[in-house]
Amino acid sequence: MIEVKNVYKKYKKKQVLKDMSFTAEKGQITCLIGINGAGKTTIMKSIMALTPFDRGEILIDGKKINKDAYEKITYIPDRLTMLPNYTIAESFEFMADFYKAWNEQRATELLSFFKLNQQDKLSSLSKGNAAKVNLLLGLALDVDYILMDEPFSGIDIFSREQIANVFTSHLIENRGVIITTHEINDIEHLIDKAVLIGDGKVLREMNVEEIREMEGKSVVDVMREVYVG
Amino acid sequence: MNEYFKLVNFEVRRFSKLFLTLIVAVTVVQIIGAFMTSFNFMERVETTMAQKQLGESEYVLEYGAYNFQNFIFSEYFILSIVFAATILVIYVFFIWYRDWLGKSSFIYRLLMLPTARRNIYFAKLTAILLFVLCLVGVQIALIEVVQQIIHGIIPDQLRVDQSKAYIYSFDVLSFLYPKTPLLFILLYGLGATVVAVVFTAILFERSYHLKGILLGAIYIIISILVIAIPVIIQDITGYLYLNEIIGLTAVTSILTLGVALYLADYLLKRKINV
Repeated sequence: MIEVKNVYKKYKKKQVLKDMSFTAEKGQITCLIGINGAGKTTIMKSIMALTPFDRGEILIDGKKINKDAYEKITYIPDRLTMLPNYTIAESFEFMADFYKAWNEQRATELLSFFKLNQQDKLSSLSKGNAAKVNLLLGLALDVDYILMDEPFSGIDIFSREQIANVFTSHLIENRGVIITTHEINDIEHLIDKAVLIGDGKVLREMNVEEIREMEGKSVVDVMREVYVG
Repeated sequence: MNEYFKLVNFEVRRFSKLFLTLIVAVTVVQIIGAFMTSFNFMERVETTMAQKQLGESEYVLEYGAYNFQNFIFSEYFILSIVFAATILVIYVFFIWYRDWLGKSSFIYRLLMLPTARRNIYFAKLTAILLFVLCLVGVQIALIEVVQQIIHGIIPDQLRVDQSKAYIYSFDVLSFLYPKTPLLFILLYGLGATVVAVVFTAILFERSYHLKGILLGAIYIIISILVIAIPVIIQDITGYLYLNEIIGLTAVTSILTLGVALYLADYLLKRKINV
């Protein structure tokens, strides 16, 4: 389980995270929902120790993040994290070289799933294909937790569908996923838990299935209540 | 340790094309320089000898023979060295900023590698040192080549053949190739310390942004002052012998290097911001 406990961060006089707390369990898809600037990306980076926070605690399976944790958890930001002059094949080599958790078979499987060509240079890829490569590099790691930042942002509808299909496939099964989006429609039917964020804090944390069954509301209904009032 | 070597290999390969181009450029310029200084000299000799009806030995007596300084102090040699040094100095900064700036978000990947983050720092530092040493090695080989070219163009009686020890005692070369192994270690150790200090200052900037520029600048000034303590003491008191100054500078450099590594480790682990 990923536990975010009272995380507080101030940047240039602005309180970016105000004692944010939530949990994300293994085997579930947790969606962080909020408008731009709500603190979604900052909390993801904080989980991965890519940005510091002033107080609070983040635990992954009960432990603070350390170098070995990067074999257990990965982060897929909304941009390519590989050298632009590399081909997809060279990216695979790099990952295989540094990560014990790299699963070459799964990478090849994903390559055909996304219909990508190994010899393509990353810098020459369309935005949609670059997003797919990014996703591929994260999903091909045998990790317990995957953090995805806006995987649907600015890409065409067919690429969105392909990426959304990943969530219902065995590629995600049994893993803990935290995904951020401000366009919930693409994945509403896929998520187990929604964490509504606004102004650096958690406004509501809910089990999507429960809300649907007990209150007959969709995530969008609850969002309307929370954000519009 | 294994990850450190992989990262060194990765950093070296990343700069290898540009570095090879740099080596080719330096080589070409210096070889052209060897030909040009030799041909110019011979032209001057032949013109003067014809005009003044002199023999070779008379020319040498009156105007002096060609010696290696003609090449070392030519624009070909000096500019090529300055050019190579400038590229490497720029790369000391670029080796970090290339991972952050422009379209690249490669720093995300580097910081998420399952290895101690200090290995990234050590790998970049090692890569810079390897480039410097490689360039120095190429320069040693080039001096041999240049000498052969000069020997091929200028007849024995018109040139002074100097010993290697004498050639390497010239200002620029004595700095590149210190006389003793101990001096070599001290000089290049000091160079490594300076690069480490600049790296740590860059990490200050990357961690604290605008405030980091100020912190980095203050940190660089303090580091220079610490390294220079023996020289400052000597300036004020005049009590120290040269060996003592060198010994004490080695101590202050090691101290500065230790602090740079400690701070870099802290910043990479706790404060870095992508």
